[in-house]
Amino acid sequence: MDQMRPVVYCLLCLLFVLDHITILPIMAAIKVHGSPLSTNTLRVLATVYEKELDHEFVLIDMSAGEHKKEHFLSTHNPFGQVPAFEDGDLKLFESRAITNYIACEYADKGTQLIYQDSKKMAITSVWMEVESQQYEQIAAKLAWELVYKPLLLGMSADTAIVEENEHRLAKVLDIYESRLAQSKYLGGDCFTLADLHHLPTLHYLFGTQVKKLFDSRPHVSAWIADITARPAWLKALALQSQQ
Amino acid sequence: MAVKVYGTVESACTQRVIACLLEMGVDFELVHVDLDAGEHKRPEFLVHQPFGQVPVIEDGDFRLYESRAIVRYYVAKYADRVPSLMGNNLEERAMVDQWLEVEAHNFNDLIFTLVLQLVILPRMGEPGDLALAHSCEQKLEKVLDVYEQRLSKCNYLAGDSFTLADLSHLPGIRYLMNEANMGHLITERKNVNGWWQDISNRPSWKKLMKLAGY
Repeated sequence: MDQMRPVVYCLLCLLFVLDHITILPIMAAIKVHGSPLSTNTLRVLATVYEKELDHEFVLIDMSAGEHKKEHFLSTHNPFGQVPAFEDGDLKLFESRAITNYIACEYADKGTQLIYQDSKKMAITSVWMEVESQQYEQIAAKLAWELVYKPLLLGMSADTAIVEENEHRLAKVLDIYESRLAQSKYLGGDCFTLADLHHLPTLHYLFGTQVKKLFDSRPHVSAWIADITARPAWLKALALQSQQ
Repeated sequence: MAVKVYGTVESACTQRVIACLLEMGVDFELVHVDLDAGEHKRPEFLVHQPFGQVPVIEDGDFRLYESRAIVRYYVAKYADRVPSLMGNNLEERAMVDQWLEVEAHNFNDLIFTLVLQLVILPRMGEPGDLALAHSCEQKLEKVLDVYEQRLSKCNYLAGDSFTLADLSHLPGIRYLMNEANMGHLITERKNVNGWWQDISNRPSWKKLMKLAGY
């Protein structure tokens, strides 16, 4: 019994200590700051999930204007926009710069989102620019009128703006239809960032009258069905119901 | 064999590509596309650029469009010529990409709308929307305030070296300072002005200005 007492005493000390120390969480090197309702944030989240990367999602309260306050402007994005991104000491903003960085830095993890071959990557890059320069501006205007304005401001859509942009989108989608008749994905045979970048606005527009423009184009429609069913995209979307 | 650049020497997007090729010492031939005559909307052109826009490049059998995709391709292809145009490592490259995206999404639209309303529409005999132009000007003031702050910390947008991120701004700012008569937006900001003076005095840009007859 006497020999047991020091052992018991040590065990008791250990238990006391364990009860009182804070187990520090392993801090993820990757942080995504934004809102799951924001198309640009979803673009980055989809990429992080495709690459199966450990990360921390930091919710920014946009309705409280958190992204326009001094702390956010000076620490994360001087333009007062989401998302913002951290990977250790590296801080980035602009969703498409972030997705590009992730795709390159973590090329060996998860889904391959870019091509290593320079000519294949150049073609993919063309369609990434098409998304950014031709598609996004129209899609964002339509999403604003038909989704965000009613949801956030309780205002109805401006029908003239909707009509004009539906017309413009139809022309762009004719080109996509032609491209996707020759190529399974926009950049070539594989799913890449060129396809992924479209997901967030597609998701919103699918819930509106604009859906008919996609449904009436068989190759576009099949491409959308394919890319929106990807598990990584569904994981990113699931964050919307969690917040 | 020289790269063929289909476009016009006055078009901002064609200028972005030419400026890059000149920086990198890549031989090219400018093939003029008659935009006034609608050449870029004809079927023969649409085969190569379905959106009916310039520029398009033809490098042997390889064709590309979208000026920012083209410049990225050439900087990658000839990385040994001017290695710092896209950064020297992945983190620097990410910073260049970040400011290229800022140019594309926060800057370009405002310049484009200003030039459309103040220069292009009047040239076509249509009235420009001055209220819209004024609204763009106000937004551009705020964007350039961010640039002013950024350029107080480093010489160029992505860091201490000239990169594609700076080059990409050259055509738009030239339009702002000249045809759109909005030079004060640049000259009123010490760091932005200093940066503009520096990048617009690069031999490659001056060569382009000569080519364009400015």
